[in-house]
Amino acid sequence: MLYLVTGGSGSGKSEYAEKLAVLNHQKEQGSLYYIATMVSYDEECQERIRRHRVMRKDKGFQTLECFCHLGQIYVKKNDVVLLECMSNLLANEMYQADGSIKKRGKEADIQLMASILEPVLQLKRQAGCLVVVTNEVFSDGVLYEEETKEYIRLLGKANAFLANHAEAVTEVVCSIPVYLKASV
Amino acid sequence: MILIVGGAYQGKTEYAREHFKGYEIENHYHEIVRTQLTEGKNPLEEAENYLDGREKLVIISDETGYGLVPVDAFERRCREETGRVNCFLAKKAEKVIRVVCGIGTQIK
Repeated sequence: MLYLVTGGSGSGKSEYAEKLAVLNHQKEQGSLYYIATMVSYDEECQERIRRHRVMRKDKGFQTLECFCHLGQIYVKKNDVVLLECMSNLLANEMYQADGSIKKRGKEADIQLMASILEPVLQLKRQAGCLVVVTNEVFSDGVLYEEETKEYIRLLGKANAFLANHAEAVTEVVCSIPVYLKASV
Repeated sequence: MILIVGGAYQGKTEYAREHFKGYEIENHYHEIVRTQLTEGKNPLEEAENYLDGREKLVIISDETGYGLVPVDAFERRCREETGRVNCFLAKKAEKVIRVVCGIGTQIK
C-alpha cells in the first residue's frame, strides 16, 4: 500500500503523513520507520529538523537517515515506513557529492528512476505500508534558470509517477486533506 | 468565521462578496502576516487575538506555499508563517473554501 501525501510549504502535510503512518502501524505488527532525508548545512536546517523531531516524539518512530541511495534501505513485511520527502531526496541526488543524478535531460530521467523511483517501489513491495511525502513547488510563476527548471521538471515527473503507483493520493491544504485519488 | 484560500487572482474576493453578503471581509490576510513579521510580532498570536469576539467574518488569504524555497531568509520565513497561520485559521473556521479559477470548493 502506497500513500502519496503532497502539499505546499507550511500546509501541515508532515503532520498528516505522520498520523497516517501511525494509524496504519496500529493495524500492522512490525516496526514504524521514519526515513529522514534532510541534509543539514546551517542553523535554519537544524531548526527545521528539531521542529520535526519534536512533532514525531512519542509517536513511536525509529528514524533512519537517508540522503542518497534509497535502494540500500530494506524493511520487513509488516513494517510501516514514512519517507519524507521527495523534494529533499531529489535535491540530494542532484547536488550532493555522492548523488546519482548528475546529468540532465533524458539521462536524468533514467537516473531518477534508478536512484529514487524504483527504490520507492521496492520499499512499497517490502513494507506493509509506505507513506511518501512530496511537495508542490510548481506554481510560483517564477522564471528560473535552466538548472532549477530541471529540478522542478524532475520533481513533477516523480510526483506523477508515484501518484500513478499509489493507492491513495492526498493533497493537504491548510491542514485539511483533499483526496485526489481514492480516499483514506 | 469563513476562510477563503487560493492562489493570487483566482477570484477569491468576488466569490466572498457573492456568497457572503452582510459579512465583514478581511482581505489579503497573507499581507497582514507579512507586515506583522516585519514588525517583529508573532502572527499566530496575532491571529488568535484578531479572531477574538468576531462573528460574520470572512478572511481571505493567498496560498503562498506552492513554489520553490525562496533564497531570501525573510521570504522563507514569511511563506512558512503564512502557511501555519492559514492552518490555524482553517482549524478555527466553520467553513474553508478554496477558490481556483473563480470556482470555489468547500474543503471543510
